[in-house]
Amino acid sequence: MITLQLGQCGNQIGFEFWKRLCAEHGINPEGILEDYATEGMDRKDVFFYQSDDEHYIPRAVLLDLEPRVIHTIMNSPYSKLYNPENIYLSKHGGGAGNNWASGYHQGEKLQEEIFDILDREADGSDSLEGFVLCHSIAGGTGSGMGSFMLESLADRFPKKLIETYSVFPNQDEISDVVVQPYNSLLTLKRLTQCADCVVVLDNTALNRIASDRLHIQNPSFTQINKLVSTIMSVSTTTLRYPSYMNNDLVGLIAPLIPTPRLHFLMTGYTPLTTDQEGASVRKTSVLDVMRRLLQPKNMMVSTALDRNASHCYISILNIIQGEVDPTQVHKSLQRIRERKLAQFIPWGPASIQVALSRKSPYIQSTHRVSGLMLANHTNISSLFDRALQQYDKLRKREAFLEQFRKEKMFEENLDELDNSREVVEYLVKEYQAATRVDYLSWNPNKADT
Amino acid sequence: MQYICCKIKICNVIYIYIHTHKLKHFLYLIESIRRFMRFSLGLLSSTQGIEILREDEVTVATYIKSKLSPRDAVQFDKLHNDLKDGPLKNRISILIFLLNMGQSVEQIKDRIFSFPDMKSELSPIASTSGQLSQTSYSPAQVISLNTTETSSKGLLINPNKIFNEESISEDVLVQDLIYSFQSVEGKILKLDSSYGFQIDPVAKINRSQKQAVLRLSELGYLHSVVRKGLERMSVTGAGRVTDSFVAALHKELSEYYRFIAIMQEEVNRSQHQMVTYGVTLSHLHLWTCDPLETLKWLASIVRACQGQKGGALASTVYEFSYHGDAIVKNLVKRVLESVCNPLYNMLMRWIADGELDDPYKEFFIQACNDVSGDRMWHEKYQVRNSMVPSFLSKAQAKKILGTGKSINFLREVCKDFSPWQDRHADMFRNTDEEYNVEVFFDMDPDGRLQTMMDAAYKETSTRVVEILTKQYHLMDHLQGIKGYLLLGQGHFIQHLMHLLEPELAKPASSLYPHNISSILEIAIRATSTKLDDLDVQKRLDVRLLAPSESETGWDVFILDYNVDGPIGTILEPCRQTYQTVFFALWKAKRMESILSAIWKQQTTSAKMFRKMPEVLPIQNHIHLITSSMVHLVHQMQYYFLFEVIECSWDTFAKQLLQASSLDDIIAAHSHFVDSVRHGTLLDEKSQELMDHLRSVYSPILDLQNLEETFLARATQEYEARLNDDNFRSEQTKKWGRTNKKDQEIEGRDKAFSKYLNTLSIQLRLLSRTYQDRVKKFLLMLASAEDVSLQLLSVRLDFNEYYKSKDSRLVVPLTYQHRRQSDQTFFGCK
Repeated sequence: MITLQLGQCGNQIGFEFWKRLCAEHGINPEGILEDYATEGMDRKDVFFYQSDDEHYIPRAVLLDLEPRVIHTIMNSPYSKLYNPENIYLSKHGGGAGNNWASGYHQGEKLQEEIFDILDREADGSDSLEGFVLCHSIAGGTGSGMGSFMLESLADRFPKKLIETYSVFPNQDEISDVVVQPYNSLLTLKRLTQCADCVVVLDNTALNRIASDRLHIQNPSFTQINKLVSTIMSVSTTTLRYPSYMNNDLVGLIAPLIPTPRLHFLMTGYTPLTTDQEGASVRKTSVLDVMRRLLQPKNMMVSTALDRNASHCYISILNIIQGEVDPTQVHKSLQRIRERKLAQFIPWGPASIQVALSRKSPYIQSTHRVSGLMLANHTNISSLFDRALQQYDKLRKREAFLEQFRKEKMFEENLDELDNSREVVEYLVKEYQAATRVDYLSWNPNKADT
Repeated sequence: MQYICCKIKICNVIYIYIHTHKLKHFLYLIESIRRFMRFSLGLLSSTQGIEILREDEVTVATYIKSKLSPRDAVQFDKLHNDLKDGPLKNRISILIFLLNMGQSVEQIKDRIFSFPDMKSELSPIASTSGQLSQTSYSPAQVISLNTTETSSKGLLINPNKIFNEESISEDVLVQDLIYSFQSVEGKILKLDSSYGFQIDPVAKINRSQKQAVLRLSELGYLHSVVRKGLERMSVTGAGRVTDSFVAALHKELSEYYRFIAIMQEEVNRSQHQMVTYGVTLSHLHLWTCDPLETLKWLASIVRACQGQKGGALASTVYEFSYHGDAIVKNLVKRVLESVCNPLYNMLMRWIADGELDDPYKEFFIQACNDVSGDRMWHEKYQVRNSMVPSFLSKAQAKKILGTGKSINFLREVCKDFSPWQDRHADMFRNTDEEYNVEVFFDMDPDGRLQTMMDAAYKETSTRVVEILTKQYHLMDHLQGIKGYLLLGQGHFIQHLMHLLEPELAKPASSLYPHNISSILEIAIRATSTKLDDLDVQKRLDVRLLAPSESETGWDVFILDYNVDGPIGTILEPCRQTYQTVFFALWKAKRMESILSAIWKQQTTSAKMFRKMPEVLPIQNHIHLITSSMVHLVHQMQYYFLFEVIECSWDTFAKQLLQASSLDDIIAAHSHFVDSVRHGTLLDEKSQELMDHLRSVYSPILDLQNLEETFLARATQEYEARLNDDNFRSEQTKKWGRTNKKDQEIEGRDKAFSKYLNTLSIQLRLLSRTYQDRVKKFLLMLASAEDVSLQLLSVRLDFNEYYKSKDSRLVVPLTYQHRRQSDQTFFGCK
């Protein structure tokens, strides 16, 4: 598993993610195993490899076109953790100027150097299963260069899986990036076509959760990123703490994604706490956790109110950690089914799957049970719908397109934009089709007429 | 003399009384009255005590008080004062008399053959009772035999005397009877076939005498019975218990012979000294009263014990000890004591050293010598049910078995010779003297022997458990089995499967175990976190079942776990089960892996085939079938692994913590294995379900084949088209289209779309077969008796997809039905 961190946002959440992994595996900021962690039953080799001097080094590649975030990382205590050869900073350091096209083209130019790094990393892993990409879809580097990376990864490593943790922009506040809708749409096309699994991290919802659930007035990036890193680390626990099932990426995502394009996953986590708020410890049981995970307010994706009441779950995977009695799981599932707390697709078998996972023994938690939900829900289409609407608004006015026209891809025409819009629209349609019984006979080619 | 006359009269009265009222209780009562009377007579006539203690009343009273407990002493003082006020004159004599009585009471207790009394009755020269009982343990048998011999010789000298007379004299009868008491034939009394005595028909005896003689001859009969019985039992090799039984009875008989000897002596004296009153039949009646009773008991004991040995013999004797009569009880107790002595010794050696010293197979624990190693605990030692003495309960016998077995287990299997053993043995040696045999059959649940046996059992058992867990790392092995054979280490299994895939796809007959073993080793090395117990990994091994034709490696490969030593005792019996469970889980895992591979190929190839829109429906179809299969396989696995194995493991782990003996561990373990076997549908009852589950799996393999050919075909087509496109673009630039190439392309296109059509039909067919099978499986599960299987059916169809498609499924899943099962389910909690 090789992690790629792209752009400002990608590097920030990546940084938090590695911090968390180190803590969970008992690895200190210099990459050396803590004394108390030598007796572990965990698999560190999924995300780390060992250097000759027994240092644990993350299988991570850090890419950015501007130096700010990477410099912060290099000045942090974790600077020695990463392999310095894996940190790539664009030489001219000017960034992508929040322009998708600029990021895409810079990526194109730098591809040789970047793939040198990636090939080296890939050769160094015994059984590489896939890549994890952290980025945002709104900015320039993460979206533009990320899009390019997605395309070339799919091209160069056709047999490897690509999972992304994609941060979607906050729609509650007016962004300083005016071309955000363009960026999002163009990236969404690549996410639809090239990635195998996208974990959607919606800034809107994250902010909302931070203020509503955690009572933080103005959530900082670090706090939000903590939430993100929690999701990222928990979603990989079954890989890192091997148990009976779901021990590889395919095993994890195959049951979640029945058809290749419907691979956008929502997440939910409970119980949520912050460092400051240790006092309010709730009693947690498996049923509590599983029920709370099904509540929309705990979802880390903000979806519009159910206009279409038939929206339903395509699949659910709950990763439950902590002291769990397996018999309780069954009981809880039974309850949820009786109360019809979750609506499922009508065209195939589906259910709440449960993975019981160990917890890192080195991180003390006040809660007995905690759970992460990875869900494939048709309602996520509303997110794309919204992106389409925003795009349409801008596009109608032909606003801010000059920057794009400067770049090679858009010199002649804006077909790429239209094309992307089409892809995303198909996606929305397919999600809607998936709520119906006749999804089996649904054909994207026919649907566009 | 006057005394004696009146005594005899009283005795006669009593004798008649006995004969008229044969009630035992009364007999016993009267018996004791009579004894005390005799004693008092003896005491009164003796002057010994009075001379010693003549000083004064106070001294005597103090002496008496010193012998009493404080409370009784106070009582005595009160009574003594009362006595002083009364009209009695001879207070000192009375006190002395009472004192002597008190001293001699204990000495009466154990006597059965009360021959000394007869002396006092017959001759006033008899010594005092105080000295009498001391003589009762002299070697009497020899004397009695001698006397009988000499006297019989004496009588043989003049045989004519008897028959010449009109009627036979009482003396002759008495003598004959005394002979008959020893089962010797006399002149008139002849032995009949069943050891009874008959009066010689030639002899003329008046009727009253005849009856009296016959009645008396019963004693002789009983004696013969006892003698013959003992003779039969004392063959060599009858066993120690039998030997000591015989010895104990002989001892009782020797008392009897003493009694006869004394009688003979009386008879001789009365004949020689020409005393006025000879020994009459009535005398004999009186005297034989006690011995008759005793011999009756001995005879019935001997009769009951015929053919018995060892523990069974002890049980039989023990039966007799339930008797209200203290004399009988004491008698049985004496016999029982010596019978149990060898058993007790064996028991002690067994508990202390785990040794069986039992050449005659008498002990209630037996060993099979040819058993060793893994089977030792299970088979080597058994409780020999027929030999368990009835005063031991089954549970006690089991505990005793467990104690010695544990010691042997430690010694033989665990090779544990720690000094603890000696300490343990010492404990027994110290206690040996404290405990006599009596506590053995006097099984008081709180008794000391019980406490000691419990302690020994507990100590050895704990020791065994401790050795197993600490020295032999039982938990590590169990964890290892759970991790490797029950797929607890999912990543290892996945890796192994990945590595083995090319090898196992070959025909089973061309597989080499060593190849596979080396692959196994690679997998272990690649996936183990360093800290895994190396020992556990070394024990992992590959088994290949005997291949039959057309089987591939998948059908024969099994992972095995080698166990030996003490751990083997627990695990070896379940090895087979573990293998079958592994086989089933491995199969499920393989299905998952196949589906994952299909999913991955489809997902990755989808990117490539984007330019060929006509394959999209096929891909969609494959994807949908795959996802429904993935769903089933995942749910099934979840059920097997978490709900069956993990839940059973939870209970097992709890039981293990509480286990106090190896048997507890074995029981817990086999319970665990059973529940796993039951839960994974591998027991006999679930045979049908398992078979059907296999048939549900088979479309998955078909799908794999279809998918692979499709992928190859589509890739081929894709590449051909790429070439075409290049060709076309080149051609159009130069010449325009060429017909020949176009035709070729057209033909290939047609063939491909035809292939896609067939494939689509094949897929539809496959999908239908699969769904039908799943539906049937769900139906079977839903109508299963086991609630958890019903619930599994619900789980597999969580969103009621199959239910909506098949009305049959609705019935067993009705709300009421489900509520019932829910109640039972929650009721179980």
